[in-house]
Amino acid sequence: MKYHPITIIGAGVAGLTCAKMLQEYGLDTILLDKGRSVGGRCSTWRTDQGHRLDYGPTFFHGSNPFFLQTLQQLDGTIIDGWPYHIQGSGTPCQVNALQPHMRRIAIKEGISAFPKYLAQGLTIHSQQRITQLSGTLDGVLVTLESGDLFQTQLVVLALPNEQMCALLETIPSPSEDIKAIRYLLSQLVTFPSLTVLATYPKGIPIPEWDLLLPSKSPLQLIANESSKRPEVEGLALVLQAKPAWSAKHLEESPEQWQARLFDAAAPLIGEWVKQPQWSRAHRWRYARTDLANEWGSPILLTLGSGKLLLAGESFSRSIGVEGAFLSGIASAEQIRRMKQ
Amino acid sequence: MNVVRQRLDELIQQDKHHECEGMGTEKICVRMVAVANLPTRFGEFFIVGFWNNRDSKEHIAMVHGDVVDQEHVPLRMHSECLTGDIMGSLRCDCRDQLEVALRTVAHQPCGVVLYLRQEGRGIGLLNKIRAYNLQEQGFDTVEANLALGFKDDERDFAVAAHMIHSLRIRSVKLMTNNPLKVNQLNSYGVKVVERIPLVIPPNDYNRFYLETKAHRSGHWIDLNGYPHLEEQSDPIVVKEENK
Ligand SMILES: Cc1cc2nc3c(=O)[nH]c(=O)nc-3n(C[C@H](O)[C@H](O)[C@H](O)COP(=O)(O)OP(=O)(O)OC[C@H]3O[C@@H](n4cnc5c(N)ncnc54)[C@H](O)[C@@H]3O)c2cc1C
Repeated sequence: MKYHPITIIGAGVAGLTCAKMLQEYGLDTILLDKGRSVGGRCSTWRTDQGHRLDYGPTFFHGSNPFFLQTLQQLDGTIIDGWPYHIQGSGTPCQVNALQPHMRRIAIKEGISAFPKYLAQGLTIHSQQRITQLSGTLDGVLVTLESGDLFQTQLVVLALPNEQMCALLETIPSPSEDIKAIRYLLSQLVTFPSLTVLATYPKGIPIPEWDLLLPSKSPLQLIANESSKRPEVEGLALVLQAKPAWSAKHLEESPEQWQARLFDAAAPLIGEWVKQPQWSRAHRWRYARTDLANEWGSPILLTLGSGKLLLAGESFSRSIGVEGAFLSGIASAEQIRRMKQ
Repeated sequence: MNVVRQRLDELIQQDKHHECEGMGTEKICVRMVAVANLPTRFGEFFIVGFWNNRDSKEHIAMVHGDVVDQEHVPLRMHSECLTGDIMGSLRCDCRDQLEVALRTVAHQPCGVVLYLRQEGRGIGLLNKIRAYNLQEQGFDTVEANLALGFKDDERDFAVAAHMIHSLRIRSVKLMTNNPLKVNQLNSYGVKVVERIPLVIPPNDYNRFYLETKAHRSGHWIDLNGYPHLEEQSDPIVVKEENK
């Protein structure tokens, strides 16, 4: 059995920000994530032809000075103001993303460069799925899928709301408090998003827009990834379906919904879209949420003789990546105060 | 034109390009942007509108009499509570506290009620409703309520202190039953010379504070058996009726 005073589950932007801040306060943490790399939903796919496709958030947007300042650390790979050319009358993924007071930033290297930056110097164990939490006389016991056990004093859960609830369900004989919070969180939702990544060879008409927001369509958006990286030959697109449509087709086979999404894209940009050189379907069961599904701050609970701190995108006053970042800041602050 | 009004107008002119370091961890800076007469059922006020640079929240100062450059100004901080202040909810005592504050200030030569916009103790209105729903499910254990009731007081104090400085109030007599609030405001450079308790007269609706003196782990239980959220972080003091 391993021992760590502070264990963070989930190495997305929220968990990484929390760990980074705690490191600055002189508190060591260990991060555990089931994924192969860090960043969670902030992810970029690289193809053999050298294309990069951001298939989670397409660009960062926000107004919090600390968030924007931290993004500036990616100096050199920042595309300030992207998307420049927006077409269509549909709404963006987050309603306020395109409002004038919001700064917009895409990353040439790929959106995943941000979590990678945050992860520098942190202790992270990837491909470690947590399957159970239990309270003990010494603190909290974290059980991994591999059978490994971690004994800890404080667990930060930096997960989408539903995955958080699933872990809270594993707690044997939960207290009234935990049951109460579980009930509460069960009222919040994270919307799914069916996503298709596709590349096309040289010679395809290059779209004039960076971002297409169709209004009457199953598609929420089509991102012209090549407009971020024009030096790579050919065209790379990411198609994201709307939440309600995604929910309806979530259990279909990827071939089925991928074909439907290409069909939906064809009248918008051309029949050629149905014949990609390479494509990949990605099902985000928990993609994004909105302000009606945000809890205003991290929640602190007692488990055994230890503590559980619930953080992540859904636990801040903001939404999306900015919300995840701010919840990381808020949870680190709460831990610092606790340790004083 | 009224001299008091003139002074407030001048402050607004001066504040037009105001942009400071900001207060508190969130570096909040507020700007005085508008003023008007507001006669109320409690007395004569000026309503002064402030703009917050962080989250576009519009805060309000209800100003009675001449407070600019004054010492010993009676002042009350009130945190927005839509359900209590406006709907007259009995799950909290906000409406009572707000009314008493406005009435008390209106009976003094001068005074201010700061109305701070942070609905639902920082978790927002929708989550406040969800928290009420939670209580109805019979979950009323202490910690869950604390988790829900976690109030971002720090923010309120930063905004309040800045508003007090913007109004150029030199020192205040703070109306509160919570002595900790005095230190908090002090830490933002506001001189608090005195604490005035806020005593609420009994009425048909708040009688349960007197009748259900049963404290369960520090939480009041209201008429309907729900824990009573202390939205204003201010213990309630109700005047005992003369028998
Ligand atoms: C298609 C799509 C489009 C989006 N568009 C935008 C946008 O335009 N703007 C915007 O701001 N945001 C957008 N978002 C949302 C944004 O990506 C998220 O808000 C943000 O990345 C959330 O960060 P997080 O750290 O809270 O959670 P996550 O990034 O989800 O991190 C949680 C981590 O926990 C890990 N994990 C989960 N369960 C376990 C377990 N049991 N054991 C171990 N590890 C576990 C996961 O592997 C993951 O790495 C979008 C997301 C998607 C998917």
